[in-house]
Amino acid sequence: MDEDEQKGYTWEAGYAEGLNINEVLVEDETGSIEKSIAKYVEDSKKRARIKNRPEKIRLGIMRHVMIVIDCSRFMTSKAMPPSRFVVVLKALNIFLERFFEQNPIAQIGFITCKDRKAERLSTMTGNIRQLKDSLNSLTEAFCGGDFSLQNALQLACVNLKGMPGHVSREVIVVMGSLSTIDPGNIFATIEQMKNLNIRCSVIGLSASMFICQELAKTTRGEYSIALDGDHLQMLFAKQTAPPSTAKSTECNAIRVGFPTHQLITTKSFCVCHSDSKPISSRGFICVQCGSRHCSIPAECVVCKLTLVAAPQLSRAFRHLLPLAPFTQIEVSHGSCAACETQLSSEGYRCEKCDSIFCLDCDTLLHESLHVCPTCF
Amino acid sequence: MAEIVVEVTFRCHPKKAGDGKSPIGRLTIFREYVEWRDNASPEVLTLKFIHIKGQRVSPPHKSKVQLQLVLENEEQATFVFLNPAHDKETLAKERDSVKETLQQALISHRARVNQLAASVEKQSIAVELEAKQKILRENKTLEQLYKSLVATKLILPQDFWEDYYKKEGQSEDRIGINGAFLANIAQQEGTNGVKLNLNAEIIQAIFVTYPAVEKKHLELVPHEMTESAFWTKFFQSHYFHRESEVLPNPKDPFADCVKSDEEEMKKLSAEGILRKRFDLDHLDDYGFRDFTYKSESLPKSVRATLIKRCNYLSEKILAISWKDGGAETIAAGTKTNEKQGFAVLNRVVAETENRLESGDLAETSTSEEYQHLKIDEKNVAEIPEYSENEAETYKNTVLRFFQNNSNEKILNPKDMEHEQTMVFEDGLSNGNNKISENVKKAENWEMTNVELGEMREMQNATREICRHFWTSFPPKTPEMEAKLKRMVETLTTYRADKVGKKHTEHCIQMIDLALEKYRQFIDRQK
Repeated sequence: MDEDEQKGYTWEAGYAEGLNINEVLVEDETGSIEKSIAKYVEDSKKRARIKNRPEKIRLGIMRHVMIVIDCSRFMTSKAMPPSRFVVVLKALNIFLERFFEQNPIAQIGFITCKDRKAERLSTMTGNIRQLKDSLNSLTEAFCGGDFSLQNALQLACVNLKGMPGHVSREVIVVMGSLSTIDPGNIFATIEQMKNLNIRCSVIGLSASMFICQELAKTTRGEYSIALDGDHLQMLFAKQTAPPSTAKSTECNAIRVGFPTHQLITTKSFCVCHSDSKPISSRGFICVQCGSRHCSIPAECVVCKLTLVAAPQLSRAFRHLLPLAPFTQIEVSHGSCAACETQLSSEGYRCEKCDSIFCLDCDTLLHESLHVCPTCF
Repeated sequence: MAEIVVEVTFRCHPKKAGDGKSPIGRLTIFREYVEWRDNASPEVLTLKFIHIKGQRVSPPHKSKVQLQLVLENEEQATFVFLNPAHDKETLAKERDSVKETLQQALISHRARVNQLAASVEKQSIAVELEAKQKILRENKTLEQLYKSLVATKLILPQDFWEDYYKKEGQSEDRIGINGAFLANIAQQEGTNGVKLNLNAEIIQAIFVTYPAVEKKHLELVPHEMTESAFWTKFFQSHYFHRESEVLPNPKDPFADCVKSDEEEMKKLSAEGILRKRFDLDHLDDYGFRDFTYKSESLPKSVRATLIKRCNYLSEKILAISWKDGGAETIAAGTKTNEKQGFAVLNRVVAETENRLESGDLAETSTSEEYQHLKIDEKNVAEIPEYSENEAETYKNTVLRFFQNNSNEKILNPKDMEHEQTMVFEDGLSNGNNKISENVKKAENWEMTNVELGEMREMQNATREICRHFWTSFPPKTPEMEAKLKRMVETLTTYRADKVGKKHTEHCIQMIDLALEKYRQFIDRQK
């Protein structure tokens, strides 16, 4: 009897084997598993590149995203050094830049949730400067209290309700808390989000929670847990790709203005730099109302017309026809078709034009450029 | 608000202090007041609930059965219960039932008054005014805009505040209750006991979780005991963390609270959770269980009461959120939320059990409905063709550009702006040259600071008026049409005012565009 107890139950051993814990989380000499986590993150990045994204499907390009930032006391935890809050803010700054690069006509708003109350930090806007300023106004000392998922979702709902039917409404919740304290029935709120076609995704920072899974599943969003700072940035980067639209979203024709970048002769102030003179003598004049803007894409403050440059809109095609993943092959000699470095062991071949690229170029082409340089 | 709560048809008469004879009449309890009608004369005595402080009954050994209402101004109204058909016991019972009904009515009245006071405070106009003033104080441009537009009657105040004072979408204030709120009350070790710091939030949480305590509070405070005395008694009675089964002191005001809680706990545990596929009662095949089941066979552990209490607290907190949450969404046709206790999770449990496969065996592919598009990949953009001369000019321009500028300069576009404009002036067709000579850079506008400030104000004001114009365009409702007409008038007056003054070209351009659009709109309507 004693021997059996020391060994443990046999079913335990069988269960643990199936989980492959020992393979994935290998402890190194000091007993830390950070290296194996970093390896896991690299592997998942690679897998994401190789995965075939569906092409020629209807996507929601005009995205209105509300990002909910958890500002409860759990965000001051040092589980992700220097603290979860700092890591999230850094990742958000990088995310903002990448997001507006890939989605020029989208808009983002911020909501913070502190002490069971949700407050809107920044209204929906396409102005990246304004968003970054509002992010910088948050400090770690601001965090405290508990997190309320329902209040955050309700507030996002109120802000997204007024949007026209053809935009893709999304909410991204960054949650470090393991509990939520709500004033009402959270399942009813989830149903409400589903009925309003709002797609909620959750990025967790600590452990997997049922309610987040339920929310993501019901609203067709994604639920993922960040293992460390790099993984968090990768998860955010996944969110930059436009989601496919549901059948129920309306499809309308949208009025868009294409102002030209011209020399402005009249003495006028621009709408973006209200406190000083415009920084350049060239600018954009809104075609409908005549107000002056310094940069596009923008939504004209005076007449609410979307102003874009045609090349920016055509960037949407990049999402509709994503670059197919390259196949990994064994190479012993030759140079990369893009950067001309010597290829040592592996190369990546484009299926359409049979050119071979090195690992760095493959990463660059798939993550930033989205075109194969030798194809056309 | 004069619903009749109880109509008391037995005879009684009030004794007014100082009066000799007491008339006989009828006592009626309404929702907000008590009324006594004299049978003989048209006299009516009305006592509003606001004025009633409390009630008293006559001791049982007295010959007369009386009910006394104590009013705020120390006056008393005494009612003697008379009915020759009934004996003293029945009269006493009637009097007690009247007292109960009146007590309940008083409690609900007081609750309503408190609620009304709180909501009035929130919505009062004074609060709104203060918020608006704060907005103006914090934002200088807004203040300027307000002065130049609203003060000069160019825009109505309501139009102005429509855009800048948004009450909705700013924050969500309704907060839930932390499960550990009782444990988290800040404590200080005092000399003979423990001091607890209560604030309004904790008190509110206690009231919402334990409605029985709220009722007691309305009854007893401030008439029979002070706030601090009430709370001291509350915590002393160990009402919420009793460990033993000892029955409480009958004089303890919370004795009946405890009793009603025990009943509720029994009811909740009997309801349980319904599991369709794992209904043990249905699957059970031990036929003699009913005969042999002994309710007291389980040994009572020391902590059983405490555990029961903790479970009960969790139930109550959950019940709050299921109670009124989602009233708006019920209209959308979702499942009803009228179940109590853990039975609310029935939907989730049902979903989990309806899955016939385990999570590992289920297909992991998401059933995304993709809508396919037809995109013709063969479209190629037009490549413009240039004549020999043009091609040469372009090539030389670009080569000269790269020769004159080092790599670093190219990477820093700001430094190069000046040179850029010159290069483009060379290479582009002639038409643009004249314009570029006349354009002065922003720093060379040759205006004083005062003039600049005035021009900025004017442009801000123009932009604001134009914005109101464009938001009411195209007009879908009569209000929008009225606003559109108002804006057009404002624009025309503003334009007439500004024509001829210096530095107004930009404003006039904007106004002209708007007026042109309006003219087209009117023409199309005809």
